[in-house]
Amino acid sequence: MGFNIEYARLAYGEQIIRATHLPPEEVEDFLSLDGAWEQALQWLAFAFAEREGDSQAIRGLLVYLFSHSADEMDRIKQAELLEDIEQRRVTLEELTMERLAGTHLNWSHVFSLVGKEFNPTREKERVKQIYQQLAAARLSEREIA
Amino acid sequence: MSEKVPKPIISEEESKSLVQEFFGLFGALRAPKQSFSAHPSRDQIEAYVSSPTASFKDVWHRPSLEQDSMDQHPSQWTLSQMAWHLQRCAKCSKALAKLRASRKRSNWFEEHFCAFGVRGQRARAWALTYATAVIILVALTLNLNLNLNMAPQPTSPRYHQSAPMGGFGSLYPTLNADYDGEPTFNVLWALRSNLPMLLQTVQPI
Repeated sequence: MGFNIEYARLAYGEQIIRATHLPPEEVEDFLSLDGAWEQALQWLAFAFAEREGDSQAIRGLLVYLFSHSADEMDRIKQAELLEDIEQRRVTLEELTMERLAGTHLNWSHVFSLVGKEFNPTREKERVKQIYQQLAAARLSEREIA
Repeated sequence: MSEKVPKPIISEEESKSLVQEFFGLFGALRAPKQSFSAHPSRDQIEAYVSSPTASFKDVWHRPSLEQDSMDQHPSQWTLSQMAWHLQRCAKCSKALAKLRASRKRSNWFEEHFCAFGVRGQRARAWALTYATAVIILVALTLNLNLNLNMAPQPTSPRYHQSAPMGGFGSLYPTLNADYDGEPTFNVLWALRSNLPMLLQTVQPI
C-alpha cells in the first residue's frame, strides 16, 4: 500500500505542474495514508506555495525537480523535450512525470517554459518555510491529541 | 571594453543542493531498477508511444492499480501500467528509446508521404522507389540530351545524311534527313534542360 501512496504523492506533484491539482486540504489525509506524513507535507507545501505565492515559479521549480528526479540522463528524451521547448510546442499543462524524468533541464529551459525568470532559491526557501509551518502545526496537533 | 556577463540567478552548486534537499520527494522514482518476468511486446510499446496521453494521472485516480493488476499478462496492461513498467524495466526502457529514435528518423518520410496514406517503413519504401524513379528519369533525360547534342546541326553537311545507328542514344528519335513524317512526341523532350536549343534544332524541319 505504501508504495502506491508514494505514487499518488508523485502524481499530485505532477498535477501541480499541470495546474489540475485538488486543494491541499482535500488531499492531505489521502497523501499521508501510509503514515509518511512528512513526505505528504512536503508535497502539500508546494501546493500551498503555488496557491499563495508565485504560481508559475512554483510550477517551474517542480519541473526542474522532476527533470532531475532520475539520476540517469536520458539523452534522447532530453533532446526531444528541448526541441519542443525551443519550438514552443509544449506547455506546462502538457508535461508529465514520464516526460520530464531524466531530462535534466537547465534553468534557462525552465524559464522558457514558465515564460519568465524567477529566483529558484527564494522559491525553495518559501516552500521549506511553509513545510516547517505545516510540520509544526501537525506536531502540536499530535501533542494535543 | 569588456562586455558585462549577467550573473546567473542560481549557480550549479545551488541547483545541486536544491535537488538534494528535495531528494526524498522522488523516492519511488529513485528506487533501484527491478527485474521483471513479463515484458510487453514491441507492438504494445509502439502503441504506448503513439498515445501521448499516458500519464501518472491514472495512477492518482486509481492508487491501487499497479499492485492489483501488474500480475496480469502485459497485453492486459493499461497505459499507466505500461508507463510504470517502461520506466523501471531496463530492457524495455532501452527498446522504448530505440523505438522513439527510429520514429523520429521516419518522421521526415511520413511528413512528405502522408498524403499517399503511407506511414513508417512503407513510407521509407515509397521514398526509395520514388527516388530511384527520379534518378532513372534524370539519367534518361541526360542521355537524350547528349544524343541530341551529338546529332548533326542544320548547318552541318551531316544533317542531310542519315543518323548514326547503334548505341544507347539510337533508342531515341534523332533529327535526320530520313525523317519524313510527323514528329514522334517523346515525353523526355519536355524534360530537357536546354529547351531553347531543342526548338532551334526542330525549327528548320
